[in-house]
Amino acid sequence: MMSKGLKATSFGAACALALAFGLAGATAPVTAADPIEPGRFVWRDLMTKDVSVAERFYGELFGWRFEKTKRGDRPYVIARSGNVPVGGIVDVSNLPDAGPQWLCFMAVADVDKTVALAQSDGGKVLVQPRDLPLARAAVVTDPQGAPLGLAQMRGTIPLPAQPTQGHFFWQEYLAKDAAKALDFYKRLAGYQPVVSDTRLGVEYHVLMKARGGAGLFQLPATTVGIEPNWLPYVLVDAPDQMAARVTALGGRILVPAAPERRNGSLVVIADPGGAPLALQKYPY
Amino acid sequence: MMKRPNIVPRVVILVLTLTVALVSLSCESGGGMGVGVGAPTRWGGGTGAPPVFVGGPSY
Repeated sequence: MMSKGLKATSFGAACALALAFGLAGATAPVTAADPIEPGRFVWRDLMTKDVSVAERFYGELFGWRFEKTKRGDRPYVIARSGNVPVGGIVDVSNLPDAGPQWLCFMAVADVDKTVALAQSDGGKVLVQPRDLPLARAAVVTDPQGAPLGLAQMRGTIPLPAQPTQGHFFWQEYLAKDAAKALDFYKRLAGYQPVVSDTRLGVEYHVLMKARGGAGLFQLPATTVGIEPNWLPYVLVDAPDQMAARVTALGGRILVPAAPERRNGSLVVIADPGGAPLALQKYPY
Repeated sequence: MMKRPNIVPRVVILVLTLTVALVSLSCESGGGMGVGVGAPTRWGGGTGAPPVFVGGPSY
């Protein structure tokens, strides 16, 4: 027979558990006064089929450290540069169609309406809107097939005055049709594009909000094997020197440093799993 | 009637239980998104010319 003391303790524990998990299950409402400007890129998640290899690569290359967490019953790794969370790693080995890639999340005012807009323009929904601890989020492909995360954020994420070494600081849309992409993203996020460069016959569009945060240009017709995508950029001091470390760590160089490409300040790599990523010195 | 020895104070059990629950909560509510996406990679490794990277970040 149970004693009164045990009964009382069990009741108290049950109340504590109910309270704690009730809190865990609840999500804070998204307020209308979202302080994060729509169009700003707020997060990047790596889709990979080998999390431990990715941790080793990015840990050695950028000095990131990793924290194992969970999303529901699935593991989820948060990458930190110092104490600052810079990205996540998602194991997609159970998704047969999943290719290695960094998925960039753009802040939007209303994720459900933005998903509907993407669909009406010919995009597809990869992940329906769902409530996550940090945001109400969804993943779509845009009309040119590029995957894009959409996040209706809760709370704020500080925007540093200057980019930080080893952090994501830019993203770039490589379009098959720049005009159509500009039209789509202007309506999606309210961007006001500004042409910042026209050398070599290519118009480079900075997607302006309060401050630039993304670029867009058209892939040349001669490009083979690259479909429209959002390419994330990490700030590094010496991309050409880092390229040698990339190959030593099992990665590949997709676009080497060259004088005609931003004075040799850019290297595009693939991590050991194959996810592309740009290493950029800035200013250059 | 069997009496349970009161070795560990109830409040300690309660605090431990609450701690475990809150740790679970913190694991779940960390930053990031963590949504798995089954989409193919967009850089398939072609043999054509690489993109012409003019312009660039403007921070």
